[in-house]
Amino acid sequence: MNKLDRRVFIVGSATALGTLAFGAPAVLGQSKPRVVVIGGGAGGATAAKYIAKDASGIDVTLVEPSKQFVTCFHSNLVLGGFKPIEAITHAYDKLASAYGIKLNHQAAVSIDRDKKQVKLADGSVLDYDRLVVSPGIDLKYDSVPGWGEAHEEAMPHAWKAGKQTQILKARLDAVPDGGVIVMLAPPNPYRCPPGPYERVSMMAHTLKAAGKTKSKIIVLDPKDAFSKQALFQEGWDKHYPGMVEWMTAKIYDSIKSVDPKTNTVVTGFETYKNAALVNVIPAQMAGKIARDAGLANESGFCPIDPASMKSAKDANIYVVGDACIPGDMPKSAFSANSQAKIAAMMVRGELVKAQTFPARYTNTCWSLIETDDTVKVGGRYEPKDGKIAAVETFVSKTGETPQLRKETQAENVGWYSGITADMFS
Amino acid sequence: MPNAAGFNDGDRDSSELDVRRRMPCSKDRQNSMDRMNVPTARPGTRMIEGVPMLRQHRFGRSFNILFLAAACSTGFIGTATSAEAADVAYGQYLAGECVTCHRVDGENKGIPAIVGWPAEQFIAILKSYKDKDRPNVVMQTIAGKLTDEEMAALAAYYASLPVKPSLPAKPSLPAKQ
Repeated sequence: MNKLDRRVFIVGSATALGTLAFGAPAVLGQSKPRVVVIGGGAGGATAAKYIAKDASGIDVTLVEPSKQFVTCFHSNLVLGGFKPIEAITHAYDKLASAYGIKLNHQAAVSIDRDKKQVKLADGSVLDYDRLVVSPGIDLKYDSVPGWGEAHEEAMPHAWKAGKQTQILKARLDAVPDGGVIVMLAPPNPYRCPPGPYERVSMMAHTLKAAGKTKSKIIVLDPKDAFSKQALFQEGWDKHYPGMVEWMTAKIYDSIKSVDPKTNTVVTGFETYKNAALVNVIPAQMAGKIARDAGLANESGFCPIDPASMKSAKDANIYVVGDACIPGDMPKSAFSANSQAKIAAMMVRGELVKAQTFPARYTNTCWSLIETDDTVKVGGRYEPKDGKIAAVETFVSKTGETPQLRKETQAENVGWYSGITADMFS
Repeated sequence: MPNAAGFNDGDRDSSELDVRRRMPCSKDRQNSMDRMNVPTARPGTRMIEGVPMLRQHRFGRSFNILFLAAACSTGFIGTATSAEAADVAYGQYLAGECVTCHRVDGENKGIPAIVGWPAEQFIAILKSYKDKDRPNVVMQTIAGKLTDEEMAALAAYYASLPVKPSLPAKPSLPAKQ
């Protein structure tokens, strides 16, 4: 590939190369072009910042009902007692003060794609030239028989961080020695592929640290395999012998029902009565606003152009993060952050003729198994064959030295600091 | 040092090199690698070799020609017509995948700071990951796909970033594993 190819300039028109050089802004009409970003998580916050930064000349509004963001990433570490919840709670202030982003703290209720407008909870309307949709996931409350939104406290999911994290933590801390925890793991695709298994590790860590080693964690998993499986299973055997039992549906058959009143889980194989804690992680889909706007396909998630993160359904809309169909990338905060930067670059390219480069994406997911014992999986990705395809991937190996695992945990902590700074400051 | 919970608080001094932070690499390039005291990746492995001098400028020139040609053909007259500016712009884009872990403010909270490194050193370290002389698989994966031109652009960008005066005077390098 020659040098010119490596620097392919992605431009839709034949406008001269010179006009896209080094951010020279183009004035479109009388007013600044307007971008609305829906959702202030790893995708939305990153997209808003990268669209607005360096005085891009774009009017950016971030629509996010919460004034603080509790990261789902590292919420398992709160569960394990490694971090207080305050350490995973972040404010949006800097996005306004440092980048001039307009923060609108209410829910976006609908998108009118014809009028290019977003309707907010108070009935007001925001016009956009480009819209970035990053609502994250919705839980499929009807995917587990007997369980629903009304039972979130009795059988917490904690798959959205915040209050649910605290409920699950309190319930975990109250599990007696000898108590049984039942986790219903989610079917693919779902947010944070290693997440349920890091959570199992953090639950076991908490029990073990409290001397409750007679307790047991039963994982009922509809999948036949899971992310970093060999690493987690090695870790569970090493650190928590006899405390974790993972079963696929080949063994337990299916979840027949759950009863939140009695903490009972009935499978085709066995009934678990009076569990000390039942953690239901249900099936998932793109956030409602994206589905209602017709941005999702039959999978419940939103197809995108892998070269730009632009919605396959609407040329004025980009979809990033957990709500999109990310090809070979996992639904992770790292992925959302990576996708958001591509979307931001393309939005700037379209609206102010900023320079654009060929898309490439990165992800790494770290998982803490026990104190100072952390593993990772990740890769690099590029658009290929109509999807975001893995170019190269890596995963930690079984049998690694304690020193390496400890260094990997330092990386994990460093990554958290890095990505949250990249999102919020 | 890790705290009681086993966490690295981010104040680790992981400096391995005694490299002058703001080495005047552009003026004193001939001697800079000699002064750099580049480390071994692992005990018993070979020394990381310095990259050929002016490697990044070879690319820079070619792009400069391309750019000037484009500018001439369109009548565009900009302020950033130097090769360095072109590299920095590309490097800033490529750095999107660095800043998720390596804080752009230069703080080390568990992952080494890479802001303000001399370009030659930056490239030498990336090459050592590409060659798998250094073992971190994340960095091997990142560096493994970077071309010389991309490394030069990244190095130019990171060398261009200001270093906060409050940070320690030595650059912190990737810890050996």
